[in-house]
Amino acid sequence: MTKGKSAIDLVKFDEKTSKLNIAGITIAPFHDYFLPSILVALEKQLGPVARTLFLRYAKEVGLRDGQTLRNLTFKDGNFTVEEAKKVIVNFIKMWCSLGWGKLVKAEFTDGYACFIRSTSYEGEGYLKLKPEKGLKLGEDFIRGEEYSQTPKCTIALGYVMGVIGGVLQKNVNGKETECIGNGGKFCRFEIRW
Amino acid sequence: MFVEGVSLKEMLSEVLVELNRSAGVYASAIVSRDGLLIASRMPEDVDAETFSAMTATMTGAAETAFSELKRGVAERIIVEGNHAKIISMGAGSKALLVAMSDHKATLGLILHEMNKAAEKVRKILT
Repeated sequence: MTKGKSAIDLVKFDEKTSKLNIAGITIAPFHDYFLPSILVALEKQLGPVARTLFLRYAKEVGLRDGQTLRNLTFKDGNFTVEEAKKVIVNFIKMWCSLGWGKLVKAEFTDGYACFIRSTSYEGEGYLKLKPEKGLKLGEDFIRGEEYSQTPKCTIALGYVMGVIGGVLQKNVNGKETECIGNGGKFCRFEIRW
Repeated sequence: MFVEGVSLKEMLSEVLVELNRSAGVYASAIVSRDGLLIASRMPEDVDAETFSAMTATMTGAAETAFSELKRGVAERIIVEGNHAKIISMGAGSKALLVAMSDHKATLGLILHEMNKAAEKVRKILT
């Protein structure tokens, strides 16, 4: 990211094509209950496996982006843990600042990473599927729960796992151990490889 | 988790080994209802994680189709292809037992063996 600029400063609108782009990549914003609504609808059709599918496919996209990042940054394929940490953490920080949530802590060692956000696009979006919001309801709220019974940042977790796996060329596993949509104060991803 | 020195995973694997010895079954897996692999006995050319996610998806969709039609509960899903059969059934409230067999294998026999295996899995996971 350019020094002194936030990621959002790099977003450009092209009036000719009516497209938004950042660093040559076309993007489009969705309101925060868009993805949770799709997940809720899929969960109704397929059951709990819907979350796994979301995570799995988001991880595949992250993996591809991580590989691109690796090829651009480490052309000879050699890097230290410190170098990998810097690249991955900076990328995730930038990605978070585009609206996925405020990254308040990033821990990265050889074999383990932990990312904590104090706001969450997906987690808080899911909370908008409560009765008073007038939207299609989340299953948890139909059952009268105040929060989701499962973590909700499936796409973010899958993507972050994929990016790490793509840069490091490792098979990574991860879990959202705390989620705002689940009643937590933060959203915490713990990733191991 | 260990039961008398044998890990849960080993106990589940043993159930699958036994199932794979019977009735033309050549691959089997125990999958959580959210599509994660718990244990498997698969040939090397099968991606067990993809197989788990897809069978759980198939089962979830079939269960919803049944409940939407208000025709009770789907007890098992049987997919018959030109080279293989895939059968998925519940093994307790949290897991599925999935088996793949040759397309010529006798379905009745497979189901009989799978019912026994599913009951064992249910008891192990309870």
